[in-house]
Amino acid sequence: MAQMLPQNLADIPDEVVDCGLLIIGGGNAGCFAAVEARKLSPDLDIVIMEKAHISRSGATAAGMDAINTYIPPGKTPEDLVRWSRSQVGGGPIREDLALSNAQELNQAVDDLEEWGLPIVRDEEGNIKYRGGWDISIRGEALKPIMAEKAVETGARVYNRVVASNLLMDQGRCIGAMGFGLRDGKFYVFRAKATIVATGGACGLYKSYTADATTSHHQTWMCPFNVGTGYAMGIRQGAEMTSLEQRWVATRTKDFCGPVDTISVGYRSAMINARGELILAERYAHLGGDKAPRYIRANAPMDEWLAGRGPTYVDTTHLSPQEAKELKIDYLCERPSFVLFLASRGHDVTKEPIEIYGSDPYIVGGHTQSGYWVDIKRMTTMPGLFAAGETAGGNPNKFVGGCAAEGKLAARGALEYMSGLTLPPLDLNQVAAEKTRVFAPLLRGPEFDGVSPLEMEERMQRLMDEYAGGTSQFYRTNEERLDYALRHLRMLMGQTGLLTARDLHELMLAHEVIDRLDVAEVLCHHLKHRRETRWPGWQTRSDFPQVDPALDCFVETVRDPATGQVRAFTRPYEQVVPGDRYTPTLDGKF
Amino acid sequence: MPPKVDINKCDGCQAQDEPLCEQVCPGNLMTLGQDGKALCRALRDCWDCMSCTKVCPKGAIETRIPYQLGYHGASLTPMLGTNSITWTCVDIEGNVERFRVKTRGRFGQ
Amino acid sequence: MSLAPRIGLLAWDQGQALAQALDWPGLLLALGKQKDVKLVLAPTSLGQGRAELAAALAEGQVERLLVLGAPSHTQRQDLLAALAPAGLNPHLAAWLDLEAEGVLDLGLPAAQRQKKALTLVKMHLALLRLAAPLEPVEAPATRAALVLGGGVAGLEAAKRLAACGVEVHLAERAASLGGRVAQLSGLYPLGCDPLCGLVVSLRELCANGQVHIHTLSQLTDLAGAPGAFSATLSRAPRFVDPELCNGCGQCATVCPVEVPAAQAWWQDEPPVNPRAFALAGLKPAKAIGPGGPLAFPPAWRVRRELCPPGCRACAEACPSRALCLEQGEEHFTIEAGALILATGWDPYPLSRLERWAYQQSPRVVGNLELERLLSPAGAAALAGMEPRTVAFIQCAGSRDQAHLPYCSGVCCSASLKQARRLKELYPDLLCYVFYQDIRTLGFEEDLYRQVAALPGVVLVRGLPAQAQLLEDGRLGIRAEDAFSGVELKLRLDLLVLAGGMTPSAGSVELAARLGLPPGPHGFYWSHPQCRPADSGRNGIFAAGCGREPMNVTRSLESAALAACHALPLMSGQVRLAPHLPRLDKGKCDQCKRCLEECPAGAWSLDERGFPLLAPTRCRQCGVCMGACPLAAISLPGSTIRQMAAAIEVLGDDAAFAGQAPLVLALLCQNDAWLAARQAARAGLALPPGLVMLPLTCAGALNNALVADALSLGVDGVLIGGCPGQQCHYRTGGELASRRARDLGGKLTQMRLEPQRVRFEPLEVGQAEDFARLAAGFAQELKALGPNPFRM
Repeated sequence: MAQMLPQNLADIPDEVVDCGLLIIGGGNAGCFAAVEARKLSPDLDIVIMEKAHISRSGATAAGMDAINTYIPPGKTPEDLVRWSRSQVGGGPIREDLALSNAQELNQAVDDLEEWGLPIVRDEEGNIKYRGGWDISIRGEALKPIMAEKAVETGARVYNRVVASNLLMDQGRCIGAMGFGLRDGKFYVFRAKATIVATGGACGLYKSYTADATTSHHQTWMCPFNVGTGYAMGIRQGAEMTSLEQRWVATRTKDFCGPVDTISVGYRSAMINARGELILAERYAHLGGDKAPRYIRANAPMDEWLAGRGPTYVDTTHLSPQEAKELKIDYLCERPSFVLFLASRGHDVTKEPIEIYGSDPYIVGGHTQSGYWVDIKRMTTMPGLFAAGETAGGNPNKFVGGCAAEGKLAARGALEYMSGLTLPPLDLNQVAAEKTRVFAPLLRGPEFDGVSPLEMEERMQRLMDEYAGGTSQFYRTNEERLDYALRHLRMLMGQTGLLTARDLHELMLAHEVIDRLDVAEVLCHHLKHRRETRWPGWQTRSDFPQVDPALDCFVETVRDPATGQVRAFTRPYEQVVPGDRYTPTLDGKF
Repeated sequence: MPPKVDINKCDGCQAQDEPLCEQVCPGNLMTLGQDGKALCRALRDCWDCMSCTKVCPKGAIETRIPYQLGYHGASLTPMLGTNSITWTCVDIEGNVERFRVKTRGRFGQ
Repeated sequence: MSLAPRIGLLAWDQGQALAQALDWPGLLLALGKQKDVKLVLAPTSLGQGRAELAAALAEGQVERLLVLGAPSHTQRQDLLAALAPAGLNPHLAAWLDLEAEGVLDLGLPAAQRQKKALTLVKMHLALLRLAAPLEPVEAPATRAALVLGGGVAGLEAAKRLAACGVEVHLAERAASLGGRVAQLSGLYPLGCDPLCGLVVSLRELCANGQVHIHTLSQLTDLAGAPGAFSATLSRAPRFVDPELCNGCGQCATVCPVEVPAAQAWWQDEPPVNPRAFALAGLKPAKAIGPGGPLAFPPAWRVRRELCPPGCRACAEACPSRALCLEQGEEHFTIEAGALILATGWDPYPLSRLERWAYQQSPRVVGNLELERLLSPAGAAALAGMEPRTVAFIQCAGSRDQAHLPYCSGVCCSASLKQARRLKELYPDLLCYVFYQDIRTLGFEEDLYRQVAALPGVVLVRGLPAQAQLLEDGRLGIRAEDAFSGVELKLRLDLLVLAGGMTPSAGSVELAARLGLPPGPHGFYWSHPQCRPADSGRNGIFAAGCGREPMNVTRSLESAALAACHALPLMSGQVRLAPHLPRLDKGKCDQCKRCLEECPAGAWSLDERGFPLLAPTRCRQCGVCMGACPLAAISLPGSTIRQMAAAIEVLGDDAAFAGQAPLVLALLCQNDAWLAARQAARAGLALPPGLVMLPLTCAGALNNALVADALSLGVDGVLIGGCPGQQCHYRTGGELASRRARDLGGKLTQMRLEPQRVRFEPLEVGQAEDFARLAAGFAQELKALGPNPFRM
């Protein structure tokens, strides 16, 4: 569609929207936040700001085939916390958050089933567990189902509005600003409380398949989630936690699709080129096939490095019926994987499926990177709440946990906003942001600048080689991180050269800017943790061992005035008793 | 190179404001070209979620695997029902596999 | 959530046919075990069944009903009426005539017949389970009408409505009423002066206090919905106060403007040869003058656009001080329940027919212009032409692909009437009528005979190729008589071109403004038999020549018809059937297909961009339900979920068809369904695997349901709808056909044969064709093999 492009700032209309609760990101956590908020307050004016279209936006666009955590009968929320803790090598994790989330978890999943999400059950109606905690769902329509519920609340959904920065009032968050991807307007949302639920950050690192004409976005994670939520908080001085605990996972090679389905759901063991059972043989002491996820992520890469690759998950024992079931699972979550197999004539019952590590992502729903939040999910910035992948401290949330957290954040937000009145709009702040947002579009035809694509590729290669990307088998060291930081600073200094030819490119320009902000903070986190606690997720070749002194959380805050990033630590507190390194009380796996 | 639009089938959603594929794409990648037909702004940026393919009422869009990853000639076609989705997969050898998946409702009652 | 449904089953095998063809008790036993079936009755009489059911309803044992059997329409109504006091909502009652479903076919093995019967009932139970108790919807119906157009049709519509006690607003854009008929000199066959009838009508209207006539007025905007329209009109300034003006004409004597003489008052289009008009000896017209033949109010008016700047000569001269030269345009609003469009016609511009010297001479006129010459006011001008030889050219620019492809129907009679009149005025006149065909229908044959028999009247078959302008302004023509081959060379004093009728510029403009669907040749749309007064939009009715060319009698009749159709919308309150489509906003992604495809224009957008239904605009066809790619719209009573549930039963029970292909026929209830039922009742052989379900309209079928059927293993889906333009709702059949083709493309990609989905046009009487079609389809499907999706 031809767009009318503005010639100058004055041409761009403003739209100011006042509301009670602003939810940035209409994804899993965002939709649940809206539904919960409506349940608690029938009259609340809820606004959802969504950069795509809520019916299929974000990480669940294609669907989901499993909910990885749902507490089975006979187990307790504490058990879940124990398991989650052991999955990240004993933590440290925010056990307070993990416990409150676990207590909310099953209800959120039950809500989904009530709304029409098919959970696979047997003939008697019992849920079939594919692993210890994971259940299978037929979630092709997961996103529309959640979106419908969010829309039914009567919330005003602003589709195709990209969030650009938080709206502030003396250190307090009172909403957000952004621009319309279709209407080209400048939006200002003023709210009594804000929940940021924009998912995680993908594309900080170069995906190893991104060297071809059409596979730049061949990533496991949704490439359209770029960490805008984190970036907006970082820019205003909110505290981030554990970004160094990046999510690196075993994924199908080249396609970069989920593997848990196969390895857990279909009991396909990880093998190398010689047919050796990698996990069972080399990592028995850490739980073998039940070893923490970073072990499972790193293992195939170690095999490759040692010359024993390629590595696979062995599906050759599957019956044709099981192979079909496997494909059905994929069709519900990453359907193009079935096409991938078909495009290679790959019969999984005859050939195993090759695996490899993915590029690193920042996702607070899988690991614990994200905003530092309190028990009510409020960040260190008053008025700003975080939920889902955007909120940190609590790994292994997955779909159910992000949903639960959306509810918790809604409750926290509603409690916070009671009795609050909105301060007047700071017109200077608004004007400054509007200028910043539209600058790439208003450079003029003579401007000699840089395209968002160029800058993105430069950043991704930089991060890959220097900050522990796939090509480096996730390894980095002090010197490389300093190099990365230096060059990130240079890139950030040159964002004033970014040029956009239309609104889509304007979005791409801001995606680069947001990613740079996150990448910089990430490097600080990686630098500060001078040890290797979770190899793969965070590997320091100069500090390859665990340092007990770093049995704590690594935190950062960026000074909004100077841009200086300060890294520090917060202590770990064990809430749920038991051995941190094993999922059960008795120390067994 | 995902996604591929068959311009003989595509009618640009009859020049409505936004064709359905443009409306749904999570990456804002589908749009209408000068010829009034759908096109993908940047094939390299597609995540193959297949939302566009599912929603097109004319069946004009096909999602393909980048040639870097898979060979030419395979296809995966979704067809939406009221509470289910049906897929036909054809591999490069011509083998046809069919799947029907319930997407809304309760199992095991 | 609401309570689970409680179904009562009434099995009434009146003629024992079912008991003979099936294991009837076994069937009833199996049905009694179905989910939510709480009661099964197999009474010997309906009366007995009624009593038992009433008791069960009253106790709350059941709250919805499925009747197996074939009660007549009266019996059904009686049953519903009897059970209503016991609490049965009529929309929770369903009827299944198993005999019309092919289970009596003894050619089938008994076991198969039994299974089929069970499957059919289960399907209808599935539909019934999801039914909702619907209540009729009331909408306001303002007791006022707005008639646009003050010609014969508009005046007649106003009279009829006023006689029924409706408040009528009649708006006419000119200063004068009576339209084109007021410009005629006489009507055939009786030769009446049209002003006679018009004046009588006007007197009647003025005597009625509920009638308001607004001249110089036209519609600028229409808001609201049928039953509650809010129309905004603009009134052009008259510049003369009608209370004060007495028509003395002083103003005209001082008016400096001379409307160029070339614009002779009887010609519609300005001539290109001014010299010719000097011959006519015409007096120039002024910028101020009488409003027209039936000016209402009877005051003069100023054509201000002709006035020189700053001139106030008329105002200064007027002894009654009636001029108000500062007057501006006014706007006013009228609330009305319905609109009647009687906006008339314009003559086809004869200037486009270059070969007959129109505009070259005042002696070349059209029929309408001749009317003015035939009136007393035109007598002198006519005499000035010294008519001795006159010719009429019929079909001038009509039935001609380059001009008007259609026949305007009235011109033959009009010309013959005028020829008769000319002969009365000039008995020695030689009058030629050149024609292609003389189309004087019905009793007008008498007019034709009479005129043809007049001495000096010659009817010649064959049109002259051209008319040559002669020195003295007369015209020379040559023509050949097709029958005798005789060539004629004539020198004419007057040449009359019988041109055609086009919808008036006002009609065309109004149709665009109101978003009406296009009719043939730019006229208002209507369905010739089903809905002749319909404009394609609820609450807006069309009458007169805006609909198609017609004579005065037909115009009057069409106006009365329109008034009659409009009445319910002006009765204070109108009751709507409860099947108004409902939108699930949660699912809606605002693609607007429902808006675009609705044949009645019933959807608009609310302030958030979601589709909003105007209930009184809706015709409850369900095309929106069929159009929505996300299945977000459903019609209560035949929702997508209901249909999906029934189809799921079919998929589960596919085995009943045995080796025969399983065919689902989805048939439009207006035509195709009736043909199919007739085929079954008449005992015509139908494929054993055939199951039928009705649709409100073929256009109401959502492709997702066809996808469901195919994915569940149904071998073929047959969609029956009305053929082409016959569709009850105008576009449903066409849309269904297109959607079936779209799905065909998808099926090919799915490696499924597109022939498995077929759209067939069927009319109500085509029972045998249906049987043949169904058999043929089943055979094709057999050859294709079972649906590969039978997994």
